[in-house]
Amino acid sequence: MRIGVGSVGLATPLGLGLAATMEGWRAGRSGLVDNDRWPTRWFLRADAGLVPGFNPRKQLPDRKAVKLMSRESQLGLWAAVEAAGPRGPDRFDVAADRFAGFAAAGYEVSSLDESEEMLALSRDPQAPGRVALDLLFGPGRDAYNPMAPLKILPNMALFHAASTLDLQGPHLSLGSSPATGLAAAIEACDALSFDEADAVLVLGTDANAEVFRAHQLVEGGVAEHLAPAEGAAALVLRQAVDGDPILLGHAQAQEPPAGPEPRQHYGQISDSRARAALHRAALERAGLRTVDLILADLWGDPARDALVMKGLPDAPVASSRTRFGWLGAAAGTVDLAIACELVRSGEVGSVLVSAAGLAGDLACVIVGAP
Amino acid sequence: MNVVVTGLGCVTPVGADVESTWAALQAGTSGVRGIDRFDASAFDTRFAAQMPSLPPVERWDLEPWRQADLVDRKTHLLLVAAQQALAQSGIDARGPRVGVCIGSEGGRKLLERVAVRAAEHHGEPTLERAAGMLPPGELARSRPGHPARVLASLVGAEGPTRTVATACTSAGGAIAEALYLLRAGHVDAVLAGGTDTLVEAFMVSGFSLLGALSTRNDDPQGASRPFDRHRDGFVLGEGAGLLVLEREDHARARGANVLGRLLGAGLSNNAYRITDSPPDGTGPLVSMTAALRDAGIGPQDVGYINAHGTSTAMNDLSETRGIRRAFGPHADRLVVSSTKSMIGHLVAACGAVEAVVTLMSLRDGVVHPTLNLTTPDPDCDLDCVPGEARAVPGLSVAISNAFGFGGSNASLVLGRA
Repeated sequence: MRIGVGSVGLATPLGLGLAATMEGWRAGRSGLVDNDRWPTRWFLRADAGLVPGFNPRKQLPDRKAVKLMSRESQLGLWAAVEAAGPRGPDRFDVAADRFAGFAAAGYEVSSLDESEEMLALSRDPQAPGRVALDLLFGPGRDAYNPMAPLKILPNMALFHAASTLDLQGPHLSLGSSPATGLAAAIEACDALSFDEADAVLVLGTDANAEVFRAHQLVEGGVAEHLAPAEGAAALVLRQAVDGDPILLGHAQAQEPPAGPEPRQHYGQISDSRARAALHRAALERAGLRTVDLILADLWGDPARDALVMKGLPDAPVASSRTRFGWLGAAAGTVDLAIACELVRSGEVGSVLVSAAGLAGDLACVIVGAP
Repeated sequence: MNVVVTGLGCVTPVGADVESTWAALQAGTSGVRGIDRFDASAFDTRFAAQMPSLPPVERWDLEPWRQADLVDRKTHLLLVAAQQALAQSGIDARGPRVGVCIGSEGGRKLLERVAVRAAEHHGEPTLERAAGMLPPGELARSRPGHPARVLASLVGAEGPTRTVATACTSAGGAIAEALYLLRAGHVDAVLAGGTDTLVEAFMVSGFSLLGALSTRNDDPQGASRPFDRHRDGFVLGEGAGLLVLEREDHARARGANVLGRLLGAGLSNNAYRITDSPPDGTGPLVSMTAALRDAGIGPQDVGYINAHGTSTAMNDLSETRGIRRAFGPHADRLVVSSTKSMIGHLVAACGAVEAVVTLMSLRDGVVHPTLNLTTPDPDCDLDCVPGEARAVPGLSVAISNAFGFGGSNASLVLGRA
């Protein structure tokens, strides 16, 4: 079965929506701006990749539900609605229980206004410096929203997309690395090929510009090179019809640790062999020797990028990381969505999208013209 | 393509390994007791299913990982289960043809630690300051994918490493994901399971304030009572489970002992509410029906359902109705029991531990009881095995259910070896 991409939704630091993002991409713009969300004086950098013009209360379908969503869920829902349309599965003529969803989503602990409220309520007024959760069972109880902590569950982004669009088929939230978004697309290909679904929403969303997520990027050295960023992408995959960009090949692997020390298992690479094998496998599966464009996992770190480049096939290379910042769980799907639009518009014939997680998970998808 | 099970491991509030857990469950032993790990005296719920002690990890030298602050309780539990499963399987898990799929949520304790840090520095812009003060290991450990990454590193697996984070269906989803990876030919074997630790102040307080937990503080061992008329919520627990899944030809070629079969899986989303299942059982109906179709069998082929059975009013009713709709008249011939009645709710790990338990039922032709089912709810009118374990001669196919917050459902079809 040939798997096609029926539609795409995007919310990125370059713009809200597919058209705005692609306009910024083609113009070569950067999405990085001064981070005005939180005081950055204790953080490594003051810039961030923030989605411009996003007002969830005005722009999402259910204003009441917005307060139950984390930032990444809000961004994810925006992208999902753009991709799957306001009428949900009807747009693709697919029964609700045959419309699946596979997602990569971050683990967001930071954007919760309510979490600050929870912390404030659980501070012992008689003993500054003491936090006592049992105070939540006292006078603070009425002020506390017990649903708030549920926002942080990684599967909430997909839940909100599913409930808004009435998608009842197989659903999985697969974790939070850039490679996970591509893994979700690979999973979607398998689900369609094995007749587990007739259409699949592939969603990647993350809100790394929030304070704790940003601080997580210190580990592995990301924040030294890349700004924290937020964004989301959604793609609807189906049996290909005329005009759909085609997912020609894919591969996934786990990169061996860079060394014996446990710390070397995060964010470090020591050679390019695993990545070269990954890309060879994807090209072989696609029946191609090379592609017209590669969207690669480049950070702007010369030493690291040299190793990454060594593992790539011979073709022009671009990277969204240095223009968007670290999109985390959204990075793979955002790149894949951009690749699909470049193919759909005829600007290129084929694109290899490669992504890697900080824990060494690798994935690669090749998209091409019909 | 057939997928078989060649290794099993688990650690639960009633046992440090598979056989001791299985023996305790057959005997109707409860692992629930008053919380002694932190001061819960002011909480509405003051008990949980706690492990009496933490079994050691002996297969690997964890000291460098501990020194790097990268072994939390959740990761430790997964490694305990993994060392059992790998020893039983005898598989060499190194290389690109072995994957790892683990159900795991993020490090929830992080938020509590942040609160402490923030309070220590009150007067500062607290959250931003606190985030910058957290040690790097804590941030790495808080990632949902951390336990899977540590396991993959220790065993040398270089195939796809996946973390499924769908709340209570995380491990069920991870096992389904493993099945898909095997079927698609991406790998020859997968270490699939789940791990979770809920006996933490942040979790107990959060679920308690949500109204999801039993408040039967005067009778902790009677608190988890799935399908009983007097059920009043679930009991949090802790534990991990792991299965070594292989393509059957791969397992046979290396002479592995086949312990059971993973015949199919079905996933669905309720698209309903964050915490509730639809009362008509639609979500469970879709996942069970999809699992039967995936396994290529009919309702009449199933003899036992290891229920999600949380002991909440809504879940047990929804699951009962889902089973009735999926199985029709055959529902009255099914045997159904809930492991959570004894070990509590292991959330991201429950699907793995309960799959292990279901495979033990298939091995021995015995179904453990649903503890505390003394006054069956007339609306939960299936045969839920009250009282004592029951022999089920000829049991060959069973389903293990998991349903979770966020509307996710996972049903696994398991078969006898």
